[in-house]
Amino acid sequence: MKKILVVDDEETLRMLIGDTLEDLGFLIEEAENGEIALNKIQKNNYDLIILDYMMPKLTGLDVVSKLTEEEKKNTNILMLTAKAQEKDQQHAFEKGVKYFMPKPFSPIELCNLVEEILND
Amino acid sequence: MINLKNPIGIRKKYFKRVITVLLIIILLAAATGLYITSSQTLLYEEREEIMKKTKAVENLEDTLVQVLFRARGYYAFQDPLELDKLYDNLDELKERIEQFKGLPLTEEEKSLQQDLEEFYNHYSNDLLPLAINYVENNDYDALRALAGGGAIVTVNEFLNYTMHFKERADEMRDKNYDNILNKFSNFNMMIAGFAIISILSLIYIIGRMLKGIVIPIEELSEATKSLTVGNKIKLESRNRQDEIGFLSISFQEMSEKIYEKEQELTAQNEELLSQQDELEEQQEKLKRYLIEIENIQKALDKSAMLCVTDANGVIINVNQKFCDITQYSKEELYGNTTRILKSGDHRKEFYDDMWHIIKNGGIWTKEMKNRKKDGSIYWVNATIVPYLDSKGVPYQYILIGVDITKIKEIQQQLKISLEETKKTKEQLEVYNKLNHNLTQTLENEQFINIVFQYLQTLLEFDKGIFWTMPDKKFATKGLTKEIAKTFLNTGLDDILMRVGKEKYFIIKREATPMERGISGEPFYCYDLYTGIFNSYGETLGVFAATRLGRPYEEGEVTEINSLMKQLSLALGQILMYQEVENAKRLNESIINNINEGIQFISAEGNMIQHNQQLEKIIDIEDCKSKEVVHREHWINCFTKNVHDKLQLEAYYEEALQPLFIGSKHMRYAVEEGNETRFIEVYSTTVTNNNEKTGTVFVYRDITKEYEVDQMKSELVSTVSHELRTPLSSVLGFTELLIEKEVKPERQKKYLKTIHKEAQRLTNLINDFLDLQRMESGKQQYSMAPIKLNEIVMDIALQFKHEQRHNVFIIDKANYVNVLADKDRLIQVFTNLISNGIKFSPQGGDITITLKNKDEKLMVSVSDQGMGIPESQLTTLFEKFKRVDNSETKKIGGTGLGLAICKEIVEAHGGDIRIESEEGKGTTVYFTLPLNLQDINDQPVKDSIDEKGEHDSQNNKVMIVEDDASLALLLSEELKSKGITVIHHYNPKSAYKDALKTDLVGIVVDLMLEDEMDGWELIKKLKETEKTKLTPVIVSSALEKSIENIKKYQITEYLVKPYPPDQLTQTILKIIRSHKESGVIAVPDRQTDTVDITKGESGHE
Repeated sequence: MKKILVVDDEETLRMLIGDTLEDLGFLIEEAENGEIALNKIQKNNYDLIILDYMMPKLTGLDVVSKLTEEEKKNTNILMLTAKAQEKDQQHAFEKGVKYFMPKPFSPIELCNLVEEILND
Repeated sequence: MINLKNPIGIRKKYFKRVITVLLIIILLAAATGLYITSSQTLLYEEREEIMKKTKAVENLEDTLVQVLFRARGYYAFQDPLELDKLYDNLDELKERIEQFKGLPLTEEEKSLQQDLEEFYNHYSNDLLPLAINYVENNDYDALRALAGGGAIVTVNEFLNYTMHFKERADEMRDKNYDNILNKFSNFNMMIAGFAIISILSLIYIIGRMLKGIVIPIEELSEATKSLTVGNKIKLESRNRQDEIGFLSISFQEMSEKIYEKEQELTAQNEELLSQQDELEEQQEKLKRYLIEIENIQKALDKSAMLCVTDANGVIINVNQKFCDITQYSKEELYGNTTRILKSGDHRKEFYDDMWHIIKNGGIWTKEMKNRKKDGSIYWVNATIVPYLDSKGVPYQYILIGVDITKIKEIQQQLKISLEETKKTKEQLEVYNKLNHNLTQTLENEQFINIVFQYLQTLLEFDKGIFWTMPDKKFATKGLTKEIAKTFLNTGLDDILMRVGKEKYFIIKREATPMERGISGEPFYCYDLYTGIFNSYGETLGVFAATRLGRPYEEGEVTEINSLMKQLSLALGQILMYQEVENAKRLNESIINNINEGIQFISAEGNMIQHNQQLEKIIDIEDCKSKEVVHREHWINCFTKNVHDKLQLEAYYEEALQPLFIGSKHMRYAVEEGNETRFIEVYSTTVTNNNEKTGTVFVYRDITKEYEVDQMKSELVSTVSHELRTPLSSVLGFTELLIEKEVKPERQKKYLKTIHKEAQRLTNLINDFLDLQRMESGKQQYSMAPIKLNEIVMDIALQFKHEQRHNVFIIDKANYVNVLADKDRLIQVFTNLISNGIKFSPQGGDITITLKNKDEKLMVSVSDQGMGIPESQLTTLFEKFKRVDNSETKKIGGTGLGLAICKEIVEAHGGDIRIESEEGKGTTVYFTLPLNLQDINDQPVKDSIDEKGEHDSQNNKVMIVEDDASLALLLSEELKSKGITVIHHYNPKSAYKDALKTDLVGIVVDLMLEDEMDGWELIKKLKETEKTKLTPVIVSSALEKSIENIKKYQITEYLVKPYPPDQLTQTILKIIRSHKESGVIAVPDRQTDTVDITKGESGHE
């Protein structure tokens, strides 16, 4: 079973993403902020990290910056961004984020994207 | 000088010496002789003695040998004769011994002598008789024994001794001889030495005498010789004090006298010779003088006029020159007085003075003006010398005159030309001064005054005015300012036109009666008008002057006109300067008042100018003092503290490049103190004829715009985030519900979430719009006088059902009247209380406190929640600023609540602040100004504190009451007595609070709509140690339960409705008794209260 880490400070969004992806048969873990996420990433191997961009303290970009090369190579990162500005995406892309999904997003589209990423 | 009074004579000197020496020699010789004789005698005596001793010893020896010989002869022959002779010899021996004894003996000799004496005695007394006896008895054995037993030994010793002594005596004798011989040789040496010394002394004395006498004598003879030659002498021997010294001195003096005399003679002789020379010289001179005088005479005849008169001035003699000049012949002159030459131009005193001087023998010299024969004038520098007779009376006069007519003429001419020059010079000076003043004058009025002053010196006029065009500034003479102004403001056109055409004109007219003044006769006035024109022929100024009765001369007018032409240049300059100056000032004020900072940089890159605004925008303290600031210096100064210094420097470099033409702009940030400011700079090349002459930099402080921009974009992104997040949930869950099969329980969960998030969105939008309205000032506040405590009670009641939180009120405020928008204040309280609740998820008290401070009502809302980190406290009142951590994230909220509160409080004229300690809780304080109008109307409450029995800090009463209006009523009443009221709706929180607080009393309503009723609360209070003794007052609509009153020791039971005053009285009683006894006592029960209110009971 593929493991996905959902990082978002909004509980409802974690629930939304978690519920939908669980239905698809993924193993979901949640992290409510960047620190917890980093902690979990170090301890576990995830097939995908769904990362919210706008989080207090450590932003999604900060989290990506702190990931080691090894972790980045092994893990797909999908970034949820409310600030759909190109500048931010560019930053994230340079840091190694390949997939983006702007908020508000459709959970079905998200599922499709996740399946697409993980089936590759 | 030598002391001749006490001369030391040669006799005395030399005889004394010789005698002394001789005497010493004689004395020494005598002493030596004596010494020699005495030593000789001593030696002889010594020898005598030795010889005597030797003799004596020899005698002794002989005698002793004789004795022994006789004795032995007797022993052998027993011859009595022999015995007799023995006795004789013995006697002789004794005699010898005595004799020896009489000699001066040494120790050894003495002991010998004693031995001998003993021997003698022993021999004569013992041995001999015994021996005689033995002999007589013929006992020769005994005799032999006797001879061997001592006597013989002594005799032998003695004999040895004498032998020895004799040897020694011989030795001594020899020694004695040696001594004598030595002595003699010594004496010889001494005598020889003595003789030598004597001879040497004599030689010395003779030598001295020779030196002392012969040398001076030789010297004297030498001196005598030199004296005859005539030389000056000096004698060495003068210093002596004897006859020779005296002689020398006398000789010296004598010779000096002779020398002097000789010198004198020589000098006299020389004088005589020189006198002779002189005489010869003088003779020579005299000859020369004669020649000179002759020459002078000739010269005088050529150059000077000579005239000799007698004592009366009658001419006796004249020279040719005199005749030549006076044109009179000698014949004509002789016999005449000099009066015929008088010109008549000199006064009588002149001649009187002359005569007075010369008659008294003085010489008179003066310049004289005389007349020739033909009547023409000549000037003479005359000197008259009187010839005096022996009595000093002049008998003739000689006049020597030099013709100075020509000189006089030249002098006259010179004087005239000098005067002319002086006049010209004065004029020039005035003109120069004018020119100078004009070049220094750049100001119109000054110019007018200077010119007008000059015109007055140049031209005489009675009235005049000088004005410039077009400003019509003027200077006048003889006209009042008012008249001048009137004149200038009316009817100038004709004059200007005519002046413009004709350049100048003169009007001759009759004097007006005013001008005529006291003069009865009519006369003419002359008005002169002349103008100053620029090169275009425009009139720049006009001078008008009026002269009464005197026409202008042509020269005057010409002068004035030429001056006017010169002035046109100066005035033109002044006007131009003023124009430029005005334009410059205008430009400067434009530049200085413009909102941008402007800086002008020369083509070389140096800072030439800047406006004042620039100093406000950029700190250029370091480089504004100098006129021109060097390129490096100002760039350094301008880029100081700039964030991207290099970029700005590059910007300047590029803009200042000689080839760069055009404009560029840049934005940069500069650090100033703690704040960062943003500046936009814009550069433009300044060109002149396509050549770059400099660069203008324009600076604008865009900090505000920048910040606004920044805030805007931040806000947009925040809002978009805040909106998107709930939207994501709403859309996401909705989609799931639509697209997927969802279990019913999940469906409900999703729908709830959707609802919650939609609610959140609504709140967010509402808050945001509220805030937007408030910030833009569009919020309408309907202010009305309200009592804040009423509102607080109402709001607190709304939170009555909070599960974990107790909302209660501490009302310490005496004044609660404010002018406010009730709904907005409710919004503030709701926000603050719900914040308190939200951020204390563990529960706790939410305390609302009201109190008065200064003329304000201070409200605080505090919770016991998680608190806020200090670093975030300051930004909390900004939009979307929330305490950022995962705990608070769960709590949710728009992040606009405090911002809204701030807006509302500030709109009411109050202020708001927040205090917090992490983990302990947060308190928000805000103030509202009291409605003083209302306060003045209401009775002053704290004056009821008449007895000073209590103060609000210590006297706290808790009211547990769920009826807000009753609670309010009671609390108002108690507060008016200075009692602090803590109001609780909830008995549980009341109980908790009671444990923490010292209370004077607790007022409990029995019917509380809660899980815990009043009696339960009272029961709990009475069971608790801390609150056991706290008086409890029951406030209830229920009938009194005597049982419970007793059971719980109820202090007072008030049955509703009762007058609020009653409660107050009860509380005050408790306080008083408390004060008196020091403990909280239960007051004696006054059941009157119950009775009074009984009739009205049954309401509840």
